[in-house]
Amino acid sequence: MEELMHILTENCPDIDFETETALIDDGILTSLDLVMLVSELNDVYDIEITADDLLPENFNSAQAMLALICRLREQ
Amino acid sequence: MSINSAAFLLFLAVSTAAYYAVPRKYRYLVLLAASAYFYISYSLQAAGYLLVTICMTYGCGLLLGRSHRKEKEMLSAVEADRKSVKQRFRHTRRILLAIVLTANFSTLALFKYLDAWLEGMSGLLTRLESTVAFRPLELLLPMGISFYIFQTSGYLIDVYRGRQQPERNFLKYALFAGYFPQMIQGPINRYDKLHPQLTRGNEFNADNLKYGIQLMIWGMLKKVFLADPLADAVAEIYSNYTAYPGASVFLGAALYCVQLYCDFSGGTDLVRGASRLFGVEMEENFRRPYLAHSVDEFWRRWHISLGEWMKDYLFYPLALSGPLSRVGKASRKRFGSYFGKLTVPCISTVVVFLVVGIWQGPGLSNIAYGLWNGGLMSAAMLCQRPIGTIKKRLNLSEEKRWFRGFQIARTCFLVIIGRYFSRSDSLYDALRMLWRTVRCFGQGGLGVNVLIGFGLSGSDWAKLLIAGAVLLAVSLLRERNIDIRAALERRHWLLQFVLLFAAVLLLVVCVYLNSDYTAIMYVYENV
Repeated sequence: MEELMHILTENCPDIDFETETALIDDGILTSLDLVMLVSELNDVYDIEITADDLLPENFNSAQAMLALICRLREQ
Repeated sequence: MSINSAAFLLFLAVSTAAYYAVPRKYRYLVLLAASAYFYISYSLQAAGYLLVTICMTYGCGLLLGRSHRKEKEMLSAVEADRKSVKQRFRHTRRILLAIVLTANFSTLALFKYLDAWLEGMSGLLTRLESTVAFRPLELLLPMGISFYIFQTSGYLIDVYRGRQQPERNFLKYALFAGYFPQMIQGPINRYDKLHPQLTRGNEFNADNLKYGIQLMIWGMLKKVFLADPLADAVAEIYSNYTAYPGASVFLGAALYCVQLYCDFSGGTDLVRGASRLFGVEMEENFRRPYLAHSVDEFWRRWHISLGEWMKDYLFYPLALSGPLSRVGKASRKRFGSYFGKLTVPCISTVVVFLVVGIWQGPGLSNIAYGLWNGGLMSAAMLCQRPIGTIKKRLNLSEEKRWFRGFQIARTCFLVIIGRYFSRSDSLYDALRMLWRTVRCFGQGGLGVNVLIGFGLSGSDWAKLLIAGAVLLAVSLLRERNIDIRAALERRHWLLQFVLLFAAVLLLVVCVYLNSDYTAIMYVYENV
């Protein structure tokens, strides 16, 4: 989780990933943020997040992102 | 049947009465019958094209759903080699989706661009001194073809991604694809939001009736008192720009921005209001775009349903595709972390706006329009950090009112320049208009003479200014989260009645009892 939080805050320093739980629903993460973040996550964790995975439930919080990463790494 | 006509209002009243007269279970059939009547009365041929699209996408949805089901069954039966099972099914689904989407968008391209291509080919052959020539086919562009093509394609992609279950009931699916209010001005509705509202059989609710009528009136007022009076003046400037000073040309482009907004958003309000009569709330398509602080924000407020569609079904798949991911990796190595990361979003943005430009119509001017917007958005992304630093140093903040005003003015200016391209007959004309604006801005002196000669009299201008001031005031209030409709609700019923009556009377006198009034077709009626 620490590594993920580091990536998130580095990419989007103005967003409070500790507490936010509606990053997509409330429009806090923009499409630009999301694309930059996904490419970074794909690189760091050696996974393939595709457009099909870009659901609000996968990106609404740091916890949800971690769950997605774990799921994709298992596959 | 024009949506401003008395015939449409009568059709709407009969449909609404019939909708609430039948049991809830069958109400969707009333909407389907009304949609079929509306579309067939427009053109039987166009209704045939719509039916083909409905059948094709309905069948494809079922096949995609079946593939998902079979995959699940197989996965639960096998332990090993699950990955190859998944890949096999995904591959089949991808091919099926690609075939149907290609057919869907080819239909759109055929209707929109075939004649332009044939004309271009003929011109080329004439230059080569060939005797072969192609005659334009002059195909009827079916009403709302873009809206139903985009909407059914979005549905298929959602089913492909496993986000939606396919609709098995053909009639319910046909209603989703051909619901009559959305055929005129959009918006491009999403299956998960629209379909349940259409098929559940909505209870009668007096508020829906009241809000629906209010929204329709507001939309008609925008069209009748702003968009229509400006249409001729704008056409005059764009077709005879060489006869006007640069300032008038710029003013003409600015007026076109107002005309287009009032036409498109007015039409959208009207159809959203009509839909509300049946208890069906369609998505908001405009959120006061000319009060945006940046071009990026403008596009999040203008034709919202198209922007959302493009984001979900083109921008994301493109930005996260294999080839662009590789480009992103390479550019991060080459340009460093910050600018490298921006390469992919910039490329994807330009491609998306290029598609939007091409969708607007054939011709290089539309491509230039797409590139202008895509280029501006990409430049804004690339300059975000340096501009942020400058703003900090100069202590510029959006909390300062003058700075917000400057940002809005700058955005409007950039949008107006873009409209030189989207409204011109050709790229050559757009560039000449721009050149004239710069070179001959004050030719003949600036002042009242800039305004005259558009075909508008002094009283026309006065009416336009009053209508524009009302629209601006309402927009500013809504921007401050002041809901005028809710505020009116709290007032005495007599005041509410008088205001509604005055608006209706204004429309009746100026439109339905006015023999001089000729309804002007909506700009986006045939796209």
